[in-house]
Order: sequence, then C-alpha cells, then structure tokens
Amino acid sequence: MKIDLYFLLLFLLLSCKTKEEGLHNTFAEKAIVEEVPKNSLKTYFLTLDKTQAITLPYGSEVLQHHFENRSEANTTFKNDTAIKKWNDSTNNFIEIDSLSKNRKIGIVSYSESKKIFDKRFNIADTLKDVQFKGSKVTILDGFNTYSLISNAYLACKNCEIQETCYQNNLISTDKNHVIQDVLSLSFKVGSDYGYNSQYFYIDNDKVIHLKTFYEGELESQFLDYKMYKINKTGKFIRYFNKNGAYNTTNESGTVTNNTKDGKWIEIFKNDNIKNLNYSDDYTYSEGNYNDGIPSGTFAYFKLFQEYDENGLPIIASRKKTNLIYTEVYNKGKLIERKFVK
Amino acid sequence: MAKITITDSGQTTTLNEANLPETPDDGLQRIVSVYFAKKVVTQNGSNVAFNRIDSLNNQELDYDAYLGQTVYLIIETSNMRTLEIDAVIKPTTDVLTGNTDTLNLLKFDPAGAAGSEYVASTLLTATVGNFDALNNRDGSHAHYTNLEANHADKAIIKLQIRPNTRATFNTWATNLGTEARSLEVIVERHDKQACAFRTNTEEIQGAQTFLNSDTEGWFRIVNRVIFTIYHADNTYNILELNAGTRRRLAKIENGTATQAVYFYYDQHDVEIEVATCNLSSVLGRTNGTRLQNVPTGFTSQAPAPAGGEAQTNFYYPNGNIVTSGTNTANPIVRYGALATNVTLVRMPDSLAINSNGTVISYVFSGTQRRFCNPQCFAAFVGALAQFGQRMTSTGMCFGDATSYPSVSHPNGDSVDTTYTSTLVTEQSKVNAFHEYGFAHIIRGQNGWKAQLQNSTYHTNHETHLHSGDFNDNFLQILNA
Repeated sequence: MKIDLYFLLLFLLLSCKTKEEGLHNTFAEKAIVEEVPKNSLKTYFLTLDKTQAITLPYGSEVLQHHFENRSEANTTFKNDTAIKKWNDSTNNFIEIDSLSKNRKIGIVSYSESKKIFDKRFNIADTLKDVQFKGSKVTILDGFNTYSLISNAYLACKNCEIQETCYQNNLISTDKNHVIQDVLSLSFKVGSDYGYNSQYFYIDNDKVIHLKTFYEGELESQFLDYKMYKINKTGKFIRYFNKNGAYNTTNESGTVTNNTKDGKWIEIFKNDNIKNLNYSDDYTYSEGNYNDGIPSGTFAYFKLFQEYDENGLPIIASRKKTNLIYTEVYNKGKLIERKFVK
Repeated sequence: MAKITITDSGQTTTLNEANLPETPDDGLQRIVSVYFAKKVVTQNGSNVAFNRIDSLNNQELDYDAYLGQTVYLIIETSNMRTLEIDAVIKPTTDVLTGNTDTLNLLKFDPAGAAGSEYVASTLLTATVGNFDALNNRDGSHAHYTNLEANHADKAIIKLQIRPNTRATFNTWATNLGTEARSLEVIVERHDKQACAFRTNTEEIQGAQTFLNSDTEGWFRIVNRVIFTIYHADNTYNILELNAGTRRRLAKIENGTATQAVYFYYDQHDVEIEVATCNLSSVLGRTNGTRLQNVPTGFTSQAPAPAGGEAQTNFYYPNGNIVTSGTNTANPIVRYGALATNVTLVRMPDSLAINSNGTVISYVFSGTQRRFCNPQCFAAFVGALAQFGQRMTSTGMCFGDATSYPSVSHPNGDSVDTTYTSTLVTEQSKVNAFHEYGFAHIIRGQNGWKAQLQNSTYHTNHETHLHSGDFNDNFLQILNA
C-alpha cells in the first residue's frame, strides 16, 4: 500500500510537470537544480538503498558448469537438447531474478537511462521514460553497486521481427550517488532469428564472470569469456587469474595484481569507427593501463586483416595501418578523443 | 464436298460417297455446338453449369487451358437424347505432336476402379443425357438437382488434356514451348446416321469439325505446372491414399513450363484458380551459418532486395553467398551451395480470396522473402483454405534460395507465420498445416503455446510458428 501511494504521488507529480512544462520553464529548471528530479537515477538509487540488497554469490550458477572456459575461438553447439537445457537454465535465472520481490520498480527518464544502457544496442528513442527493476548489490565496501534490469525494443528500421533487448547493468556510484562506472552484466538482444546474449556470475571472491553467446535458430555459439572486478575507485577493471605476460590473438600485455598494467595492444571491433566507411570495424590499439584503468594516450589504428571461409580472422594477414584517432585518459576518465583528418 | 467420318479406333477417314448411310426420317436431329468447358458448381453443390473456355470467351488471354488440365467436352444437341456421339480431338497444326492425328487423351471412366478412373482413349464417346461423367468417387451425381432441367440434351465428356505416358507428355510439352496451340474437335453420331450440325437445317452424314475458326473460337492450350488442392470433404478427390488418408494435393509436372498454376476445389468441388506463379530454378542452399565477418575473396557483391533486413549479398567462386544486414544477432550469414538446383515459385505478395465461403488469405510482414518451393506453396494454400482466416507470413526465402536474416529457411521449404491471439485459433492453424503435410511444426513454449498439439517446441519460436519440411508423400504426381 505504501509503495502504491508512492507511485501514485510520483505519477501525479510527473503529470503536473508535463502539463505545466511549457508555461513554467523557469520553475522547472529551478526545481531541477534545487531538488532531485523524481524520475532521476539518483532518486531511484536512494529508493534502492532502503531495500534489501542482493548478496554474493549472484548470477547464473550454471555459467560455471556449461560450455568451455576459453576466452577465444568459437565453440558451436548444435545439439537441440543441450541448447534447450542451456536456454531454460539461463532464462530461468533471468526470470527469477527479474521477478524477485526484493527488486523495486523505478521510472527513469530516457535521457538519463542512456547513461547506463549498453551503447552497443540501439534502443528505440521513442521512449519518454524507462522502467527498471533494480536492486542494490553488496560487493565492495565504500561504493554502492546497483543492478538495474530493463526490457526495451531496439530501434526498428526494416526489421522483420521486432528485436527485444533485455539488459542487466551493474552501476557503481560513490556515496553521493554519482555514477563511477557501468558494467553490462547480462543481456539478451534479438528476435526469433537469434539472440546475442551475455550471462554473468559474481562469485564470493567478487570476481565478475561474463560469458557471451550467440543463440541462434539452429545452433548456439560460445563467443567470449571475460572476468572483471571493482577497483578501489569504483571502476570495473579486467581480472585475470594469473600475473605475468598475457598474450592472445586479440590482447597482449602484462598482468600485474591480476589486472592490466603497462602497455597493452588490443584488437577489437570498434564501434567508434562504424561510420567511417571501412570494410570492417577492427582497430589495433596501443595504450597504457595503470592498475587496470586506462592512463595517458591510447592510439587506434585501422587493422587490416583477411577472413577465412568461416569469417574468422586470418592472423597471419594482420597489418597495423593508418592511425584513425587517439584518446587521452586521466585516472580512467576519457578526457579527449581526437580523429585524424 | 468430301465428308469425313470417325472410325471405331478413333481416327478420322474420308467417306466413300457411294456408301453413305440413308438419312433417317425421324425428324431433325442436331448437334448444336461443341465446346470445352469448366464445371461451375453453385447453390451449395446442388447446381451445376458449364462455362465455355475458348478464344471467344477468354479474349483477354492467349490461352484457354493447360496441358494436363481436367476439363469437360460438352456436345449440345437437340432431339438426340439417349443417342451416342463420338468425338475425337486433334491438334489444329502438327506442332504439338508432329502430325495432326487424333490425340490419345485420358478420359474419365465412371465405371473405372479406384486408381483407374481415367483411361487413355482416342475415341471419346458419350451418351446424350447421361450424367455419369459428373459422378463423384461414390459413383453419384444425384446431388446435382438441375441435370434433367438444364443438361438433358448434352453429351458430357470429362477428360484430362494429356497423354497417358510421361515420355509423350514431355514431347508435347517441349513442342508447345512457350506458345499456345489449339485443339479442335470432330464429332459424329456413333450410329453413323445423319444429323444436322450447328444451325443448318439439312441432316447430313459424317463428322463435323468444331472449334477451328475465328467465328466459332479456338481452344488453346499452354504449358503450366498444375497443382490441385482439395478440401478435406471433397468427394471428387480421387487421389490415392497415403497411410490410410486420402491425399489432398496433386501435381502435373511439366519441365517446360515457366509458371505454376494453383487450383483449389472446395467441399462442393467449386473450382478456385488461386494463383499463377513464376517458376525459377536456382542453385540450392545449405542452412545459413552465422559469421562474425564477411570472408575475404568474394568476386562480386550486390544489394539485397530492398524492404527487409538483408542489405548486401557477397558472391564467392565456390558458390557461397554471404549476406550482411541489419539483424542484431545475425549480422552476417553464409549460405553454402548445394550440388543441385531447387525449383522456386514467386508467391503473390498477398492473397485475399473470399469465394462461396472459402477464404484463402495471407499477407507478408516486413519481409521480401517471398519465394518458396512449388509444393510447399500448394500445401500452404491448402492450410490457408482450411484455416479460413488471414495468416501473416514472416517469410520464406529469396529468389536465390537464401533466407537472411533466418538461417533455417533456405530453398523455401517452410512457412513462418505470426501467432494468432488465442490457443483455439492457433491450434486450428497448426492442424491445417499438419493436415496438409508439413512434417515439422515448431512452436514456442511461453503461455498457451506450450499446449499446442501437432507441434514441437524449439527455442527462438516465441513470436512465430514454423511449418516446415513438407512431406512429399502428401502430394500425388499425376503424370509421374
């Protein structure tokens, strides 16, 4: 009843604001400055602080037991029964987690929601507000961490079946509820033609395990496995089991204190060059990490590479070519991004 | 003027003037007209009529019937009840068969045993006022209540315009090519007595030729693959049983045809010409494989048909086609080349048939995948008619047999449809697909979808029903 009254009040306040927006701009702006907007993330975080937090371990336990533990190379599963079992277990977790009575519904403006949405997914911008199901997650003392679940549609241009987007994002804030970092914990994006998905498990050692998959009509593929931790400044940083030299086809550098440190070379599909009319979006980057966070200048070069019949890179064909852009980081924060003309 | 007559073997020969039979002195008997026709059934199956099909009645078309089609030859008479009339059919020119001899065609034999209802015959003899050519498979035509009133002076012959061997059929089809060729009919009293023809008042011996002039019309045939689709309760369906159940789908194969025509026959045997679709033969495709990148080495690329999620096709020397598009999960899909070609029909963009209670209706959602294999479309038409409501299809395959963004619909051997709003309605739809031969019907499991019978669950089917793998045993090839 108490909750119902709260939302009724919230609805009335939102309604009043909508109606008077055109006439009382000055009042509205003043209110934003002086008060916490009712449909802001901060208000929502404050609400979640008052509710029971999720404790570790948290996530799809099945993640530890299914599929291979490899970080690279695709593994394809064509066995219908295995896919169904996997699908059922992961979906069950999502459903149980989403419907948990400890999660609280919150309405956040679309513009603010974009701060925490995974930027890889083009959420339809027709939304005015976004509904979240959130909960605080107890991971690290000194920082607040929240799991916010949302369901939305992707922007549809010529889509044959509307694509849905489930996201569970982990947000860390300082004590004043200022966002420090966002990590995509889990997502399932797509339609009946196939889904891109990621499932997670945060173990008792506060290691966040993320595994990504393709869940298709006929087969599923394990695509990637990465681990993260939260550092002392509330940033999510990569976690590695072993220290020393780390060298794969897409990442190479030194692991110190179980995270990236020093100069790293990274090859990945880079959304930042998506609109530059290259034949593909792979870049070759060089930059320094300091205790897991980017530090100083990162240089991004176009990577030339050929692909075999299965669309996998032919490693021997790789060539670092022209510089496309640079980024400058200070304590993990992006200060500048400059494209070469 | 020399006269011709029809011999007992169904050939024609010139009469010896000296041996002409005497003209009977029993009043004016007349063969008024001779024409090919379609049976038209109305009034819930109780009324039958015959619509002429020839150049005078199909002036907008350059053909009147298809090689292999079932038609009726109607001989209208006066004062000739109970008399037998012989007829033979000949090509007007020698193009069809290499000569102008009478054709050996399949005539309906109402006394024929199951499976032998049509017998090859050059001589087509029928009795005026006998309606056995209208018998259903139970040997009855009593459901037509207007026979005596409207058709007592007709001799009715039901026949399929095709020879009884595939080799000869193929020869005729090859000779026809893409042209229309006309057939003419020669008729004569079976007892060789005289009668009047047309409006002439003179009774004469011998045979007369019909359908061989611009004033009387031409009966023109062309090549088509013909699909026949029956309502479950159609008693004129004489197709063979498949595992104890009567087939509902039949096909006249035709390797020369560039189009396929689809006929539906409802429970009263009312004929609905559903669609004519262009045929094509393209290299078959494997199921798609989702790739992360476009493989190097394509020799050409081209935009995919606009309007769906596919954007660009990349072509490879080994026959592979890789399609890139806007689908989030399947941004790039490879479709391998099979060793053999597949035949596809371009489906109509929509159907909205509502005729005498038969509804055959579908639309496509936002997809340009509007090709499918010919028999799959026949089965789809059957399922549509049985379902009786509009379906929304989310697509089959493209004209090159690929199916982006789907990896599971190459070669157009399956139909995807969006779910209806209730379990009862959807079950009716699933049953329709099931009964017309779709072997694997795949559904989702959320909500009432889990309760759908005649279907199995598979992941990724929560927003559409997949009806696939048409079982060829449900289709009878009539000219195999």
